[in-house]
Amino acid sequence: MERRDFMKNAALTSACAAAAAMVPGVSFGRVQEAGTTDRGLKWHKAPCRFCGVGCGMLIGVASGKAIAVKGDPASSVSRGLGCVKGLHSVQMLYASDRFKQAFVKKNGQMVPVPISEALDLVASKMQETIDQYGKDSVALYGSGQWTIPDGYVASKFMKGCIGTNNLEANARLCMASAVTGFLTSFGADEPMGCYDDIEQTDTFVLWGNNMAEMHPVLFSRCLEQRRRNPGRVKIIDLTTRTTRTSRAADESFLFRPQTDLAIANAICHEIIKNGQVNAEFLSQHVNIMKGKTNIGYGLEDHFKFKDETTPIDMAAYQAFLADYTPEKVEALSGVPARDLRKLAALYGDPNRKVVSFWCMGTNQHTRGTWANNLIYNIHLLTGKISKPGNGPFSLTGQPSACGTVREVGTLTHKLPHGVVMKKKHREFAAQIWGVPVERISAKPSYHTVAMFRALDRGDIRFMWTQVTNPYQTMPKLKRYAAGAKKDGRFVVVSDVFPTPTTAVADVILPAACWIEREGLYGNSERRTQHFDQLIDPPGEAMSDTWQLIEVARRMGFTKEFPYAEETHIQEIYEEYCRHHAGLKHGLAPYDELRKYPGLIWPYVKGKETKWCYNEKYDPAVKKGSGFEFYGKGDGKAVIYARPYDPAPEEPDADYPFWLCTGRVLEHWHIGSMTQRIPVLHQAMPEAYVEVNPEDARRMGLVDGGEVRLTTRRGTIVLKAKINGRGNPVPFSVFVPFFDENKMSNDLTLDAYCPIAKQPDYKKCAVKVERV
Amino acid sequence: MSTKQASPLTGVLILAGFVVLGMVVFFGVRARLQSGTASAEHGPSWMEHPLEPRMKKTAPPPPRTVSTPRPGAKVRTLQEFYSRRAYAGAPPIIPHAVENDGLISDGCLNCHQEGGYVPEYNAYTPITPHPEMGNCRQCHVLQVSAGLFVETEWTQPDLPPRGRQAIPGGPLEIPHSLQFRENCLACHAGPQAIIEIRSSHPERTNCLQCHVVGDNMQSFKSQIDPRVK
Repeated sequence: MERRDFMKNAALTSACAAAAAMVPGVSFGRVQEAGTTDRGLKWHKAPCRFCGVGCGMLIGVASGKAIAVKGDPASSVSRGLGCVKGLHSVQMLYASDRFKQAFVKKNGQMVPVPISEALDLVASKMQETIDQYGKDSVALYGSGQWTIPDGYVASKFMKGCIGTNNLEANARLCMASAVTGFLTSFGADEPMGCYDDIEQTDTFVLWGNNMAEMHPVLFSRCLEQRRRNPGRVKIIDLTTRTTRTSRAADESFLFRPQTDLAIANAICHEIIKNGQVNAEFLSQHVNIMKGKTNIGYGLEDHFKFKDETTPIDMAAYQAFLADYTPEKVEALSGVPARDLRKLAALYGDPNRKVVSFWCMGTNQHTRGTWANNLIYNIHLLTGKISKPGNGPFSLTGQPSACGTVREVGTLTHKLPHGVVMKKKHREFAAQIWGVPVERISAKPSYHTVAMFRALDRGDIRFMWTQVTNPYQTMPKLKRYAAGAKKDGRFVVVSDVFPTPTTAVADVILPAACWIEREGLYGNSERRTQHFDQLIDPPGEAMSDTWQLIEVARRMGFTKEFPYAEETHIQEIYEEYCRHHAGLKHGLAPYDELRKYPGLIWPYVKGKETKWCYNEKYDPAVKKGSGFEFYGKGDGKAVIYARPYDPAPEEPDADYPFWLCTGRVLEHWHIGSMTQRIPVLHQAMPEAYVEVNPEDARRMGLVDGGEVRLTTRRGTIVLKAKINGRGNPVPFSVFVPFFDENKMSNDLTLDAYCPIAKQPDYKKCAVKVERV
Repeated sequence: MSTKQASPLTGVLILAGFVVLGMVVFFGVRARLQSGTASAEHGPSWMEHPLEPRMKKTAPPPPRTVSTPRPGAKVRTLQEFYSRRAYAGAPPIIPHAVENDGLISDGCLNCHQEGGYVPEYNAYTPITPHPEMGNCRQCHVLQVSAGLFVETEWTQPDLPPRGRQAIPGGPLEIPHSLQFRENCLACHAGPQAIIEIRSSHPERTNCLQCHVVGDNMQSFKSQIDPRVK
């Protein structure tokens, strides 16, 4: 006890006695009970560990432990709010099965070893594999939970030092369609607007996005906007099953899976028909194009696809849309024509502002790029884009899917600035990295699904994963899990807890988690968020950044990784900022980021750019142009004529139901973190299958009864949930994917969007039987 | 004729009635207030709404009349309060069944906005300090299982100190943040309030006039150097 505290306590005790004598009738007995103190509790800012919303949290630290969380009122994202996951997040750090030391497989057993020994082995094994099989036989697979420095070091190590493009991240499974959507429509990635749109709009259209459970804090902001503007603000839910979001929305339109493509086209059809096109905006700032059709589904190994786009005129676009009258789309989608007209009227009304939100429903889609393009079409036709309260807004699922995977570019074809295919971009990266430009390979290698197929085939022999759990999250899981266990494969896993992925590892490296190290995330609205190291990692646990640096140095790349341990995060971030310097992607300086709960890029002269491409807000836009979509050479965004295509596997006589997988509010992605938080596990202890009550009655199934789900790839048994929080339409079921004891990905299909290479976890055919 | 004569008399009678009624109400309330204050020595005082406004959305916010609660009704304790929270300040779990799990709020506010006696539990419903926030299930979850996924080394941290005063006899410090807990009376007054932390003077509603948040108090250091003119 400090002297000051002692004096204070002594004063309190005597005060009690004095007060009790002075003020009869008032009890001061409570004072003596107060033996505990919060004097040591200090609050520090950090972005939430979980989803891509990027809530600003305050973490309460006392005696070297994180003991409490509250929402940061200074955060413009969450404004003091948090969801149940974020508000309990610190509890996961203290789960008993944290990895506190490294493990190495010896004679089939995982044996604890000092981390330096494990790092030696990783480096020598990586080198040995390169020597024997070539540099494209080693791969690094990371995550949208990688901090920015993790991803930057990974990119420099793999692309700049080893010279392979075998670098991918799990954001391929969640955000790739959003990226290709942005690149094809605008030539530059990430939303043009920001969350401030919520308080400035009067219409929210949610495309297959159960925001109440997946982005609860943003949904609360939408609800608050509606509460403050009764009668004017509307929340419209487009969905394939009834969810908490549907019931909280003003209207919910149920559509048949995959027909979102047709619905978006029907909206455009009506907007043009009703003369609600913003003709001036369209003529000055938009081109119309079409791409290839019959593009396949990527189901086979070595699948290749390259889109070719050609310009078309308005007449051709209108002719294309003739297939998408409300009546025709009603037949396809099941949404009544009058509701489609109502939707189109909301988008088309010149006096109404509209924000479209979407996330996995649109992105995890075998036509994900198209689905993204089609939503942009609506906003481009009406000119409702890049303006406060008006815009398409692609949400993300991971805390740094944008900041790390998309901006640092930890994908096979990407560099921190630009793509490996362009000489100019390779030269630029090589110069900052201080490596010979020839070392950066000009050829993209494997996207995620192809990478795991290559591991299965043996083309990849060494794979290191960090902050992700592919052996729970890959679709058609059985194939990929078996591949990792084959002879001659060496699997290194950096993680915090045991997972199905550490279960197949040859080396496990204990990772420092979140606030146990310094780092930066980037959220959905282009906001870069810094956090300090607040507590010590347990045992020998080490940050992913430092693990990579240690291995790189052991492989001889000491010159490329000269950072000092005490300041390496700042040094790395500042080196990374050089890749993005300029009006279009300038990042906020390190010192500023330490002061604020995040700052939005482009950060120009001490100011965030909240709405890109709009001259009023974006200093990169050519003066006098009004709007400039500067990602494209001619400054014009693109409306794409993209047709409806069926899903690769639809219900049939043998597998008569649709299967959709996804998340629940209590668990974040695979539950490795949230299941270790007692309150969340106790709220949602296991995965279940939502069954429509009519289907249940027909099958004689009761709530809680066991159900066997079988697809062409696997089978699992789950308890039925009837009239639970979600209600699927007849002949469709929903399964959350968090539960490692009920692997929903044994069922899913590894078909993907040929442009984005992102798999579709939302649609395949399944047989549903009562057990 | 008779009506004309009766009129003034009726008026006087009505007036007298009001006076008597007013006196009864005045002294009655005073007596109850006094008994409330006096009882603080032995136990806390609290307020109770005479109508038990459960399920009444239009009822006024936390009532000001002071009286005793139903005899035998369950009393909320701090121990129970903290048993429903992972740490002080964490959102409490929902300790009862919820009819419709598919809603962001299944009529939560019907009971938790104004509180009231619930015969089913023989207890008074806790009142939310932030009824304006409608997405209840964002933070408050059910507990349908008692087990753990894996063991944990997490232990509930020290609870905030209670009863701290800057000077003897001074007002108590508020030992918690006011974020989403600005309605003091929700927890500190009324029959639903936690017994150990009930206010002895709930009728004085300008709480922050005397009580300040004691969290993160730093000693004051003047930036002014008196030697510099």
